[in-house]
Amino acid sequence: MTPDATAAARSNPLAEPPIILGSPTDRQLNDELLGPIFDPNANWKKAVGLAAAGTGLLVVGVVVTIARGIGMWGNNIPVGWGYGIINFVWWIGIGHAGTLISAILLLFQQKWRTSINRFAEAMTIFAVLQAGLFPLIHTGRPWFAIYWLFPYPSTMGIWPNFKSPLIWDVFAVSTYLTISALFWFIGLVPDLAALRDSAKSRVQRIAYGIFALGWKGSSRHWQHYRIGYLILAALSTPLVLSVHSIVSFDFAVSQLPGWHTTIFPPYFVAGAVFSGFAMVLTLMIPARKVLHFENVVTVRHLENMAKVMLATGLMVAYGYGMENFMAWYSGNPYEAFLFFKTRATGPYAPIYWAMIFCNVVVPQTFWFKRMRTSLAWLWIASILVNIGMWSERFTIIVISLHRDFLPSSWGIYAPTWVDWSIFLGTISFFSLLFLLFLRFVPSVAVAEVKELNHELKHEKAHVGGHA
Amino acid sequence: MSTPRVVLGEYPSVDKLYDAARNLQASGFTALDFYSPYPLPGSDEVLRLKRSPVPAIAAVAGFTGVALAVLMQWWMNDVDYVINVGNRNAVPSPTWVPIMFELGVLMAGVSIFLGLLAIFRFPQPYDPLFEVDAFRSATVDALWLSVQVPEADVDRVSGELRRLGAAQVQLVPEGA
Repeated sequence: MTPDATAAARSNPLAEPPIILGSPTDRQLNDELLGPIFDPNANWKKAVGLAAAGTGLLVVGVVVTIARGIGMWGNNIPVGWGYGIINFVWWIGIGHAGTLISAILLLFQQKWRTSINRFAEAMTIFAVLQAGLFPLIHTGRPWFAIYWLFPYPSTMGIWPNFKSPLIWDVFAVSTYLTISALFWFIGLVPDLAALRDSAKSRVQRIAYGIFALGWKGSSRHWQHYRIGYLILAALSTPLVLSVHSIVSFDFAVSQLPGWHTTIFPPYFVAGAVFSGFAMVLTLMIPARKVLHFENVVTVRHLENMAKVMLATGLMVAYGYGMENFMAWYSGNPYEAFLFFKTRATGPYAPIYWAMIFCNVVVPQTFWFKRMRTSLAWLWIASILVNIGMWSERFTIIVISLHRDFLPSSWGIYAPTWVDWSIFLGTISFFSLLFLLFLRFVPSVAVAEVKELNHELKHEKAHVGGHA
Repeated sequence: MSTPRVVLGEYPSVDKLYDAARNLQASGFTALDFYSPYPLPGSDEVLRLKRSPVPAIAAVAGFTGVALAVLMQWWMNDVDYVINVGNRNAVPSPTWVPIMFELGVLMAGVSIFLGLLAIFRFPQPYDPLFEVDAFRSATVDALWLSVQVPEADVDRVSGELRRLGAAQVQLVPEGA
């Protein structure tokens, strides 16, 4: 330890590492955080080209599906739900971290959220967009499917069945997308105004001026703005919990062993937050380096995210444990067979064990500070967790379906090239949207960081005065 | 009285800004506003702002959403096109709850957004304040005060703003 650090540790052994490094001025923060927009990275175009090419796979997959039908997918009887639903649930889960970071941490006044919330919110919106695609195209002919999704007076004179969790899903996911997008945009307005006012070219000034809607930072506006933003956060908090609970109802209300459990809603929500934080880390670790945001997205932020992953990972592990316990304790032979035979030793056992390794074993490394603060390990672990959560959805959906009650109706599921093409295509499309976001939109909430910077300086001055 | 003019003053600290505002209020100029890159704690009190109507808007819209969800599900599934599965057609039904919640949140959230736009009179792509080049720092790193004064008082108030510590004083162009 340096003499300074030793002295600091002696004066307050519980002092946490800083959220903002150095003591930048507002102008410095402004120039630094908006820098990537005015002075883009040289490799940005190459990355966009790559992502756009990958998005071509998505286009091919969707066109083939719609032109030739759902038979182009690997779905069969008994595995009627395949990649479409696996990827839907996976993407929706990833889309949970944004609102958690923005809303729940805002309500709990966790100041460290400030420099990562914008990033996570963008990720949420883009992930939910990918998720929404799957239910849409899995109907085969989406233009005929509207009447059972949305309550509009169709010529057939029938209405959606509101007792079905699938219709709750439609309401939950579309509400979530709308509210997340509004929350994101409202948060962006002051930053877009800062962009308009720091723009060097007339085109940029006009373009950002349009999106800034005329924001001037007036105190008479801030008054309404703050309360509106806070209420949106308060609304988003139960909303984010409701979305994955409702997704889990799709499974939990059915009779199938492996689906029919009451632990699903909390277990799905914990898993969603777990995977969402993993995806934030996967994207944030390279982005903060490329965009030079190391002094506002500090190791402390990354470490805190690792702690959240450890906590939610333990909840997920508890969910696995409880599922297995109930399979044994209920004495239901079908459930016991699924959990102890099919999952552990059946044809898809490697995917089950990959899930256990990635979701239960890997996060245990986050008990150690050395692992939580190692960027390389955090990045690798976050990718492993993403893989683990995808495996979990595969385990829940395919393994439960492929061997149900009667051995005569067992079957095997294998994804086709169209399944793969759509899945990889959504990953590319997600990356494409994210790259566009990093290039054209302030990826750190500049106004909030400036506010936090002042609070921290004020606090420091205050504490200094008393010491 | 001729049309009022707007005078802007940039202040180096929040304390000086508030001090200037209180002084102006004491001399009878109450059409004041502050501009800052982030919300200033205590500005509501200094400007003597009324409570924001946003929470009320959100509450009314939210409960309207809940009521709509009840009516929609009841009328569609129990009146207009009865879906009776296993005779589980209780009214009210617990299965209504998820959509009641979602529609309530949706309408409250959308009303906050539209409500803010209406209160701010946004989108407002042009404002005479944008004519003042130095004022662009208001969203970046500077604290500004604006005050509406009659044409005749412009010079006096400008001098007053400077006396109260303004780093610079600007007059917003007339009729712009």
